Amino acid sequence: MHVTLGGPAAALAPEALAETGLVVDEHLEVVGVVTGWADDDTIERLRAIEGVTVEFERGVQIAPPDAPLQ
Amino acid sequence: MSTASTVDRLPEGPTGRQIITFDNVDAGRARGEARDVAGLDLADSREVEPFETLDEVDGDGVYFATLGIAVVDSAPERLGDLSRAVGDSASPVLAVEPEVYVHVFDTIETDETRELIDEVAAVDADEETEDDELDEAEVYADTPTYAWGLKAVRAIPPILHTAPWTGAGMRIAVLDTGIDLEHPDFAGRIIASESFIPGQSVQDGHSHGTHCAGTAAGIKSPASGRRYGVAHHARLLIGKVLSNSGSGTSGQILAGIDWAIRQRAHVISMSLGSAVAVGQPHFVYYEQAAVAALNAGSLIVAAAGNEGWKPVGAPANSPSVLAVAALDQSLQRASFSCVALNGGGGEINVAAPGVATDSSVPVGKGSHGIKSGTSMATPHVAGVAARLGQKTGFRGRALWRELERTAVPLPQSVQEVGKGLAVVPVRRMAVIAPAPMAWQPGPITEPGPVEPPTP
Repeated sequence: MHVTLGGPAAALAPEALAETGLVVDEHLEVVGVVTGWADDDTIERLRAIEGVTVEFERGVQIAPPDAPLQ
Repeated sequence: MSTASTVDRLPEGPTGRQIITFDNVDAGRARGEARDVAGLDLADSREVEPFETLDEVDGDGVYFATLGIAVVDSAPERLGDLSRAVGDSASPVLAVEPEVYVHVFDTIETDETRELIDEVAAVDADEETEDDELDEAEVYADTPTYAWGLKAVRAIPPILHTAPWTGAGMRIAVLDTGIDLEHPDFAGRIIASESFIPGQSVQDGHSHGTHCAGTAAGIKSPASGRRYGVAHHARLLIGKVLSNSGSGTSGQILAGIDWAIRQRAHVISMSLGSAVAVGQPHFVYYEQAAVAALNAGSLIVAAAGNEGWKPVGAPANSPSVLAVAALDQSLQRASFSCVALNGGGGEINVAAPGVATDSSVPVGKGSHGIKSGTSMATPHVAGVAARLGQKTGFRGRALWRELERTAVPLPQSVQEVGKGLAVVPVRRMAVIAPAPMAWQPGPITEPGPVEPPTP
């Protein structure tokens, strides 16, 4: 599953995340977010790290070009 | 007053001296600035003997440290350099104004107070307009020269007002479906662009992104059609976070925000989102990104959503993201515009025009087009924020507060339209009162022989 992690910078250290089995997609340092791929067990381990929040990536969809509302 | 009084008459008008007002800086900095910019040697008022006229002082003028004001006796051409420093935000020089003689009113005749009238007018013009009432009956409509939304947000200023802050020096990031890089209206306006959609270039294959970027920062005189851009001197950072079919992920949007902050965007406009259920909290990651943005001086504005009487969507529901509702031509909340049903960030902050908005679309789709939605309201607010930011120098949270403070209250509830209509800062024009003219007898004209009435 594609997940997004937030939390203090120390909690998002790449080594700590790698130990849990997270496959890091991107580390967005400026906004303090890590995105990556994780299975259910990995998500459990991630959630156990103090300060880390794990949320599932969501799709965003705007209307087609000719729709009445944009 | 007789001609004999000319000799002992009170002096009036400019004295020939100039008064320079400095920002709150130390005396050394202020005197240094005057020396560097205009070659003026200012004596410190605390170090000179009491004096009657500046001629007795060793130097070009005197600096009064406690006031932050200097009085100088100088050739006008040397002050030209100082006047130019007034517009420079890095310079402590706030104003250069001629010193004038000031008298108690009844010692001189009314027609000699012209300078005072002008002074008062100039002061008035610098104050913000207090005319914050809306004409209830007003219904906006597109004209041949501008889109209705520009008039509503005062980018086209009201009568007897000017809107001198155009967004110059401000950077607006539009995170959307990209932009039509071939559109003539955007030539030279885009500082940087980046696609976060794998396999797709920044080129807008949808039209949503080109429309939103146009509303935020479209030029004053488009190649064709009416004017549609709010901050016509702001420049654009284009982050493509939605594909040509209009879809993206929160991860791509976060990557776009990260990029926009690195590009030092002052305003980040996001006409996108996903629906949120009643009771659903905001996403931690969007909030974390928005806090990082505010801390870096970037204000994120986002569309409330088009679900109607449903909660504000994400990311607009994050506490640190400014949520924008859409208004129709009579400044009523558009029926599709989401409302504040959730707390904790789910509020509406301000509202802006979002019905039948004319703006740019890709050249291949006709160059101009009309769209409706909170997506259209959001870049109006981004443009307003850029112009406010230019005027005030405020960034991040300070700019957010100023945007809310200057919003014009609307009759509808805070739940629907927040603090009200976001508007561009305007200033009132100086009204010059003509001096009264003394009565003069006109020439006596001979009416000629009077014809006796014919019976």
